[in-house]
Amino acid sequence: MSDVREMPKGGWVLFKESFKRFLSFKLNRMSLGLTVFLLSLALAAPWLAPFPYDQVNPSLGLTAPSWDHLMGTDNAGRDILSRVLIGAQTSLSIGIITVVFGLIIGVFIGALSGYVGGMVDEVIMRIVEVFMSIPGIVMALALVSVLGPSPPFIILALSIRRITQFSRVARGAVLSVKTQDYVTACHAIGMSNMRIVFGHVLPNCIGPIIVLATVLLGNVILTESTLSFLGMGIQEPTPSWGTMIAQGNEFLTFAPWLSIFPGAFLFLTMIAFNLLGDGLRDHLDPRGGSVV
Amino acid sequence: MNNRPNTRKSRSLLRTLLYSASGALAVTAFASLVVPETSYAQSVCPKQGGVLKTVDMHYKMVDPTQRANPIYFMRLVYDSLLDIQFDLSLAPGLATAMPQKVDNKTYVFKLRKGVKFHDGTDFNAAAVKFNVERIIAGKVKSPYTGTWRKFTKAVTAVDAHTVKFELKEEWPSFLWGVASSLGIASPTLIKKLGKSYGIKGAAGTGPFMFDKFQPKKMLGLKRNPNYYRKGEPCLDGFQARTIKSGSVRILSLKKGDLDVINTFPESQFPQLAKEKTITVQEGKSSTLTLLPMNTKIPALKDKRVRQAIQYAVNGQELIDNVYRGAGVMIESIFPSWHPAFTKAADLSPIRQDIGKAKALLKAAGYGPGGKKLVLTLETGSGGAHVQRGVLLQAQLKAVGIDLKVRNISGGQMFANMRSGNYQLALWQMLGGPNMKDYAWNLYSSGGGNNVTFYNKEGGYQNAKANALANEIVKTEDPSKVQDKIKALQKMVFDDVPYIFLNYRNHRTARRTYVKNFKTGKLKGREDIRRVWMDK
Amino acid sequence: MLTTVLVRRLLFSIPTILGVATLAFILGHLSPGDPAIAAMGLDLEGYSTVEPGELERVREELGLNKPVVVQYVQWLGKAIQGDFGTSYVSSSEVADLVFAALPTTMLLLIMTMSSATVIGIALGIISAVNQGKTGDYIARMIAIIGVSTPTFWFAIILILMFAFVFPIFPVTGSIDEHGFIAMVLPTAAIALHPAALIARMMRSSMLEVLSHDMVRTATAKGLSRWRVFMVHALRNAINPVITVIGFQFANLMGGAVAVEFIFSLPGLGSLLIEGIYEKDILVIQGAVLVIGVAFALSNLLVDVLYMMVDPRIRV
Repeated sequence: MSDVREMPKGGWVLFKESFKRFLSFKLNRMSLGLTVFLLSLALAAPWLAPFPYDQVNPSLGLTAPSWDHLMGTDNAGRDILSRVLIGAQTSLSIGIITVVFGLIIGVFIGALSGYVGGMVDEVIMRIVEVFMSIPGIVMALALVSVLGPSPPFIILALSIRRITQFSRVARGAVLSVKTQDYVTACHAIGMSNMRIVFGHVLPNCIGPIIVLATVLLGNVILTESTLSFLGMGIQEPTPSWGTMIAQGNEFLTFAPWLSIFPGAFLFLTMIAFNLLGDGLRDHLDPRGGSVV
Repeated sequence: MNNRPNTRKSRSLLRTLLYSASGALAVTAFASLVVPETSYAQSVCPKQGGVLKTVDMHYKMVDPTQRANPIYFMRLVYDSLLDIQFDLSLAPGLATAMPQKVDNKTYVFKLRKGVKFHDGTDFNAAAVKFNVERIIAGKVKSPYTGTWRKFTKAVTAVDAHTVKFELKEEWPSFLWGVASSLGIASPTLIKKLGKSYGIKGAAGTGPFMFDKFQPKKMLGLKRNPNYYRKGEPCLDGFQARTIKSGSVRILSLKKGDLDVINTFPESQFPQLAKEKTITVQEGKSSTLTLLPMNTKIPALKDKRVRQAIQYAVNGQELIDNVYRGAGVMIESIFPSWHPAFTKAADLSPIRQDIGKAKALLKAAGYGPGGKKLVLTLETGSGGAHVQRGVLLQAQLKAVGIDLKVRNISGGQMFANMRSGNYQLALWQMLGGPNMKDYAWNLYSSGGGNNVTFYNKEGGYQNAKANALANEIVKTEDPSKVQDKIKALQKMVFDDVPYIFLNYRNHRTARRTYVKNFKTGKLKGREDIRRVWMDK
Repeated sequence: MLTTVLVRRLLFSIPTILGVATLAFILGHLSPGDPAIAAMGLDLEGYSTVEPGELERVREELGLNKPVVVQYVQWLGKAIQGDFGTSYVSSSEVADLVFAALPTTMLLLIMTMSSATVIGIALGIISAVNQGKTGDYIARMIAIIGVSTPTFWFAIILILMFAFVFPIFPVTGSIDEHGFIAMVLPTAAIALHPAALIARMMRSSMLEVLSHDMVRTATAKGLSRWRVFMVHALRNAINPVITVIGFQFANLMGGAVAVEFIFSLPGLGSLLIEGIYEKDILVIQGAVLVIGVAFALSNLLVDVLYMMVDPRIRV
């Protein structure tokens, strides 16, 4: 029986050390910087945008990038730079809310299921499996078509799959920790379940969960863009990169700036989150528990 | 005396004449024996052959009761008793002449003899009767059912080639109805295939025959060698499929994968116009763009609100920016090509006036300091629909109305309009050269296309306008009801149950080697029978 | 042994499939709008088809007045027999539509998965073997770009390049018209993501295996480097990659939906989107059901494959 005094450092300290190691790599600092930059752009968008995003000017439609309009204008004469910035705010805020919502509910369900085990675990996992059988976008499309494309419903539709993904990972992490000796030891000395879960079990899960959250943020933004591209996402006049790319399709051969700029920003955002997720995974989740 | 004709000269003349005459006779006799029958065909078709490839295959079945855009697809397989000409007049088709009008409610048609359906069975009066009853029965969902049900009392096959139509009441546009909605299909094949008719097979009397079909995806037709109009069609076959992307359509046209396209993004027009290998044709004022409003809704029941919206919109801006100039402003409730077109004396009620819009909104309680007016506009999802939605949104915002735009499918939009489950919608209406489509249908209490509930239960009422609409539709001669048309127009422009936006001119683009493809006033009613390809 | 596991998993998947069916039905049923109105057709010419009482008659005929549970059970019963009902909007048999669209999508996904696997594994090996050198960096860059490029965006780029600049591949039309060549661009568009993911997975897996004692021992024993590589390292490195492949399969559908839309391919994705546009409830239900069942079964298949490949795992 392991000596209680030799209990490994509380999970949180380990976590902090891993994070410091993460920051020591140049590539990680760069991707973190890029991510923070994009987030700040999104936050400050209303102040950075030179024009109101819905200000139409039909006679100025489809003008090429110039000093007045750094990214040109779309068919209705709206400034594309402003729309790209506000689009960043739209996509990123929807992404973050979706991931946070999915995380809270998913981790709760997964941790509960993993910790309690038994019949409860079986039933919950079956239900999760049902939702996992339907590909994310199919689910999102069907839900949005039923509920309507207003932002709360889009968030709900997008978060269904995240809930399943978070619950899977949380459950896996809890299961891998549950059987470890020091948990049994904590139990033995009478530590309450709550304290075990929050003080020891969860910190071990935090790593994979943070990695998952980062990667999923990229995924959600991509899915939302695809939804908007198909016309089932954010509605006019609110800009979304996906809608902008879809509308720009028609003009691709003679006014490509409508699609190029939102496409480039989307691409950049994805790279930022993917690189960040990679770096985090190397240090916070080397065992790959966050693979879903 | 020397009064004898110069015998030598006249004899040689006579000889020359005799020789040429017999020579010509011999050549003709020889020619008629050796040269095949195509000499007749050549007078109709300069060149035979080729398969015409186009797009926009929206049809779910190859059935004469179906209607989609372009309408001419069904005309390839099915003829009607009367043909619609390029100038929108009617001519005999499967009937030998215009019908005999026995009285106001009875018409008798004489039918062509010796015409066969594609499956070999005979075309006759019994087939016509069968087809009318099929539309009325409504087992196959058709947009024509209501009309035929309302008017038809009985159809009788007097003999094999005479058919009598008896109506319940006067139907002023009966002839147009026959020409535009009564394609004749083979009763034998319909009975044989049952539910799969139109999907697994189809047979009409038309210039082309069913070959391949995938609902809403692909249609393949081959030439009917026994078409009753000898020599037609000039083409060997016809193919239509679905290509969603406008840019890809244009690209395919340039490459020669397509020969004709019926719709393309207007924004591409300036470049297309410069292409040497492509001809673009424009049909004026074909589509009436309206915003029907649900007058059952309290906010929209208020005339001031509707007028304010009308004063807020700028149809010309849409023409310039979205249609790239292919459109005209509205000057009458009838389009400019319509026999009943009557330019309104005062067009200011349907032209932009932001000052008046704001004043009216304020009077209705929605101005600054008052309530906020939030409305939803439903449009289709195509590029032009989205673009118009964006501009309308901005135009209404300028007077303080918050307009939300939903881009949905055309079918959904119609269903919502029908059931009154909408607030505003963007509708592109296509009518015919008859009196009902642009008046009675839109403004009367019985009008099936009157989705605004103007004069209907629960909606905004104007009894006088209703009465005028009912009067006008009783005749097909506009000169008899000039005053009534003017009066109705004035009332309707004042009541604005629909927002009058503009007319859109439809454009088609074809390769220059496609000859005789004429785009006329009515969208999608091209006559392909004499189209030939110079390839 | 394996067969019993297979049978057990199959049995366990029945409640999952049932759940999928229930979900599909709920989604369809929640759709707003009255199907009876859609079923009665649109009278564009002007005279209304609605006679008094007709709406009620149609509702009765379609069974819309029965309690929801009864409708569910009836739909389910028919669905098991392969009858998904008749579309209210288009009057076609939904089953016909769905099963006509299924082969296109399945083919697309299989072609995508195969090409992604081959390319991904190759890239991953290149990376691992050249660790730290130029080859590695290039491969990793390609992988990162691949993962970050939105599928629908890449599809548009492909169309631009191959339709306008190098007109080699057709950008529209189905297999019937052009043959398999019509699938090349759509496959390329969807395969980018999984190929990149597989490459990364393969790389890290290979690197880990290559550092194992066992491998070093084998090299020390004098076995040729190539032999060590192919026989030992590869075989062990493949396992986690197969897991990834399995998980990726469902994600492919997301890309497939957009790509089918862009390339006008007549697959399940297109069918679903059309059903959603037209609010064709039975088509939505049928498409979601078939997609869900197909993926539930494919997940099962991947699990079993995984078990076959790695004898250590017998869950």
